[in-house]
Amino acid sequence: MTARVLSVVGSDALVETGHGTEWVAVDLVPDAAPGELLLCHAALALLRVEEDAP
Amino acid sequence: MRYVDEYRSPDLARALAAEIASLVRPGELVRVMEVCGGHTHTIHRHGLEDLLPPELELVHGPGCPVCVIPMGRIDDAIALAEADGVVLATFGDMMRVPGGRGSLLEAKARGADVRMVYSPLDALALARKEPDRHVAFFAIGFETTAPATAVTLLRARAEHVANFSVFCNHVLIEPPLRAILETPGLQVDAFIGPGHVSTVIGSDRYRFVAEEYGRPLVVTAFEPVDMLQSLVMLLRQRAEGRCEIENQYTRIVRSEGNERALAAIGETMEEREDFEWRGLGTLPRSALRLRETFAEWDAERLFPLPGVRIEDPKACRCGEVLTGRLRPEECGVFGTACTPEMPLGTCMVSSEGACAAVFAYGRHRLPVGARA
Repeated sequence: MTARVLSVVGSDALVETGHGTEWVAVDLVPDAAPGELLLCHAALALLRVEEDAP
Repeated sequence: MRYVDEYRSPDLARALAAEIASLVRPGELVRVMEVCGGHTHTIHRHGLEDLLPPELELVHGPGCPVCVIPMGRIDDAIALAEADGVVLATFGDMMRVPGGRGSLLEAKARGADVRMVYSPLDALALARKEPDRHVAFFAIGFETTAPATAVTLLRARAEHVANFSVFCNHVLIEPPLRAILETPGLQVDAFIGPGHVSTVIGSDRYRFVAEEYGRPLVVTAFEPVDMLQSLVMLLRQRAEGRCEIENQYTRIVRSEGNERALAAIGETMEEREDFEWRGLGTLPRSALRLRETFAEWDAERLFPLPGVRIEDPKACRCGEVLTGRLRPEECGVFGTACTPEMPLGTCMVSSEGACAAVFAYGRHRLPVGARA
């Protein structure tokens, strides 16, 4: 699922999904910042979604 | 919602369906296998088969991670759950998969401490919260889920969490694809390639499908318009005499994959010599185990597990469903002795399982020709 970063605390980020908010680990996206869109799976952010991608 | 609504547009879907109809040749049959269980779910949830011409048949593949776990591994998990002081944590779907000694849910009813978690990170949090118990995480999934287990192991090591371990059952997508491609009399002309797995391994990893086996594959996202667009791409290849690996999921998937995720997997896990798959038998180098450097978090080294191979019930034909040789509704126990409430086989358990998807959306109740 894709989720929007609301805040980052250490290696975790609070993200907004289509169903509410949840915490995900951002170990693989260590420079994640509020406002960015992440692809998450099993409470782990796998990568940042480039919103201008085709 | 961004990245959802635009890929569910009825107008776009109708236009793509019309293009698909224009690309098939009357009288021929093109069989396309969707490898991933997420795609199977989309097909049935959105009724995509009703938009397709009779010359195009969708065949379900082996990409549901719950479905491919053999019964013996469930019994291993039950033995782990019954060990003194152990909490077995796993995903919800795994609790209902039947093994030789019943399911984990039944083991829980008998007194074993089995808990449902959303992520391996939740299992690690449980271990921190309950230091007097040992929390073992029953890890399953393809390369999509393995990074979460890998990151959890790296955190467990960094934080010196000693009362946590992983029972690793992560599997790899390439070996079952090769096994299907090497099936004598294979009747699959093209593949809809996995989307989520490809976010980790990249689209280049499928080149063998075209180069060694002469079948096109399009890596595909999960919304209905995505899947219809991929079918157009596959049929265009066929019409133009091409056989290539293409990427429809360009908004996420890169050809080279996800370097950080692959590094995390590589640091914590390595390929097993072989692994038993439901429906496909034992496949060499088809699954992952923990590396020696993570032995102290490896449930298979910490606990004695039965490790016994158990045959599926004779009535269960999940193996044929998983390899595209049988449609779910053609199984003799589909919807009768085998239902989502009382599953005989794995394909009826997970929402990504082909049988569960067909059953849940009731497509089997409608006569062919009246499903639109």
